[in-house]
Amino acid sequence: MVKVKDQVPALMVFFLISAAQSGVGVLGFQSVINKYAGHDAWISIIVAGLGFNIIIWIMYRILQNNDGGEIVSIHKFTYGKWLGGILSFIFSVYLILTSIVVLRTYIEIIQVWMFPYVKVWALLLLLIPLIYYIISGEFRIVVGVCFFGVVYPFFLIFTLFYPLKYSNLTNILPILDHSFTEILQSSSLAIFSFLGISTLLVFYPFIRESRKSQKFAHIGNIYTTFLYVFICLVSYIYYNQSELQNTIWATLGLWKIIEMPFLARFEYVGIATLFFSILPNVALYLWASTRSLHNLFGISHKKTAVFLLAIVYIACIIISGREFIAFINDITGKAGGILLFCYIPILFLINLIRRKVKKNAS
Amino acid sequence: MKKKVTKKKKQRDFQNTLAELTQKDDFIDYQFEHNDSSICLGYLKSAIDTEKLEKYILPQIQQNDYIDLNEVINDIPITKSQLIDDPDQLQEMLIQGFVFIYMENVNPQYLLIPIPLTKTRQVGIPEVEFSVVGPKEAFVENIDTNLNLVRKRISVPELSMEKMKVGTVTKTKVAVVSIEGIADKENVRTVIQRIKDVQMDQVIDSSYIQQAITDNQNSPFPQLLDTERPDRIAAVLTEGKVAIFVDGSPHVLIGPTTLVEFFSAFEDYFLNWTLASAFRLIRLFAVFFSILITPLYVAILTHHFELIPKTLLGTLVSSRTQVPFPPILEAIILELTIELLREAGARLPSKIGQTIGIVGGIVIGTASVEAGLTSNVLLIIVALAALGSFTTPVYQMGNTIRLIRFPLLAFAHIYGILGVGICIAYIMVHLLKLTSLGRPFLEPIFPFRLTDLKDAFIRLPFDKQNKRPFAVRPEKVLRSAKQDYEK
Repeated sequence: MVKVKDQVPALMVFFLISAAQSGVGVLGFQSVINKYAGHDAWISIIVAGLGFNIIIWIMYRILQNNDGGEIVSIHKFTYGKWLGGILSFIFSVYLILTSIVVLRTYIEIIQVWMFPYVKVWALLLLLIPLIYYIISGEFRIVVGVCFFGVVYPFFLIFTLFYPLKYSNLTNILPILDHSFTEILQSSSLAIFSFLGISTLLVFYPFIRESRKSQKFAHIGNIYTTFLYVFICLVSYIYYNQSELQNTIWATLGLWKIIEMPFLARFEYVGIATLFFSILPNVALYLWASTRSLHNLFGISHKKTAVFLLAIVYIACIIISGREFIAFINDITGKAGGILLFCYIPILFLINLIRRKVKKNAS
Repeated sequence: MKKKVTKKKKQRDFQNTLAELTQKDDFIDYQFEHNDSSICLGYLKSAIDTEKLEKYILPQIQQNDYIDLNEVINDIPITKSQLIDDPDQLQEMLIQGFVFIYMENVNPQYLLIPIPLTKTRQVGIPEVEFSVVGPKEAFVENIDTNLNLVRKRISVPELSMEKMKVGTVTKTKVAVVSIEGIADKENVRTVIQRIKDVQMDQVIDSSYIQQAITDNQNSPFPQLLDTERPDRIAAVLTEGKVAIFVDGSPHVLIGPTTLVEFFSAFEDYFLNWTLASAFRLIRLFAVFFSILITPLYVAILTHHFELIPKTLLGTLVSSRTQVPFPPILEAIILELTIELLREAGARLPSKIGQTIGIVGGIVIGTASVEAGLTSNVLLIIVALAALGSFTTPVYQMGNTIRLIRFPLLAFAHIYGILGVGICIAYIMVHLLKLTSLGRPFLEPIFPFRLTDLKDAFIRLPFDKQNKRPFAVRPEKVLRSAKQDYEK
């Protein structure tokens, strides 16, 4: 059981959820989600956000109704020792994979926009100890990093008012020009940007008065949705749809035109600031993975963390090239989608039946 | 019969002790003969106040015929005199500044009279934390004077002082002061326990205690605030914090503290809240500027000069055309020069120090720019950064700010702006991990507490400050608990 001393206030769920949801996706989701819904794709984000609210609700139902309140023990209870263990292991692997993808994509952005000749292994030598420094200690530190990851990059929002000067509102008119199916199809693409909530299944026992924290989780999700919608709207009235086809990182493009008397090329500052948004992402995923592996195998938290960071280090070096990174991104995105929108409801149902059966048996 | 034997034995003991004591160079003893009794008086010359001895003690015993030491106690106008039987304690008491009187014929006892010499500096004006307005008293080296300076500011019986002695050789007096009913008992217990656990032979200054009881002694950030202002101590005690007084040190430690407290000058409370808040913000800006500006210069000029608009870039480039070094080398040379000047200025007497400042600042600076060793833009930047770091009201934090600039410079050289970001992240995580007496150091930023923000980056007016800072977990949260102190 988690000690009260190690728990964090319920309000922190807001920061945990929104820090987990906003990561590298912020920089380039605009030109991905418009595949079906075109300039109406911003509505798809709202739909996806609502979908995530439902998933958060289901997660809370699962977590609150089981003792222990985290994925490993729930799996064990629902499926028994072996099948449950294997599923928990797959879940941990998924979390590691996500952290690798986030980290590698961010490094790719650095390679493309800042340092084309950066040595990945050398950059990682600076980042990996930092991540270890965060995840080896108490959960409080991870939460602190998430907190700063939400608060500090917030000022980037104001930079998005600058491109409005050059924007054209007609780019998103007429609203609702696409059919509902098209919008739904785009929503299925939009969900990849905010998959981070799966970590909730791990950190739930670390929340003080965890039952009260549900509203903060929903608010966190709504906040991120609002953020994405805002960025999306600004991008869609700044670019027209054909320009977006040729843009990979639309947000960075928005920053490019910002000019101040002492600062041109804002995207450098943007990328450096976004580091504070990427860091909690990677740290939270890896912490969650370390924690669930620790719960599963009982190896000490620090040893597991070292082991996982070694894997992340090697994996990030092996994965290189735009295609490979895009491929890995795609796979993790799909896995995350399946996990949240198919597996979680299934787990909810099986768990419900299982508890009913057990209740009747006793 | 038996009694007589012990008496004789005791007299023999006394002779032995006396012989032992006479070996000390500064031990002085007088023997008088009065009627049939002989009186012996002894002390350590370096430990006592001879004036008091000659004025109050010697005349009394020379003029009167005493047969019992109890009579002497009543006649000598000095409190806390005591009678002891055991000559073994004698030596220890003499060291503490007692004079002993011994009468041979009566039952062998020693009368000990305390007249320690406590020469101390006068209470002066604060020099490290000077303020234009407000009280002008600063602590001195004497712990009793210091405690008195606080006691007269806080006139409640709840002010508690836990005294102990630390240091196996120095036996330094340490007092832990807090207000009962306001300060959190756990904080007080933690402080007392940690001080009791200190294993040192010498405690020369409060900074020894600070380093011994601090939460993380490898951190460059001080985790206990030190101040020389009694008014500040009075203010933080009423907030529910704990103060640690150390004899021989004009600086008093405060805990638990937070990072933002290191940037609040006590003068902030003497000014109108709007002015105080504005100055505090300027100070914070100055600190950030001081830490970041040189690393940013190095980052931009090494890696991404395209970040600078064309017009400004022209100025930068033209100032650097003569310079043969890469920006990092240039920056390190100048930063080190400033550090050298500062060290030299701090070690030298103040009059020579000024000269050094002029020689260093003007002569070396101008000459190095003219010789083309550094660019004048960087000279301006480094000088401004040094100026910014002087604005920190607490000297210790100023030192920290001096130091953390160097790793930032290194990171900036390797990965430009991203490197600066990574280094800030390291510092941020480090600060998140830090605690002061077990309480989070970054409060009220994280854990985020809205109520404590009233006295963090800005200082709201006093009528908005009706709650004590939650960071120290005061037992009484509301400040205006009138019924308690206005009976």
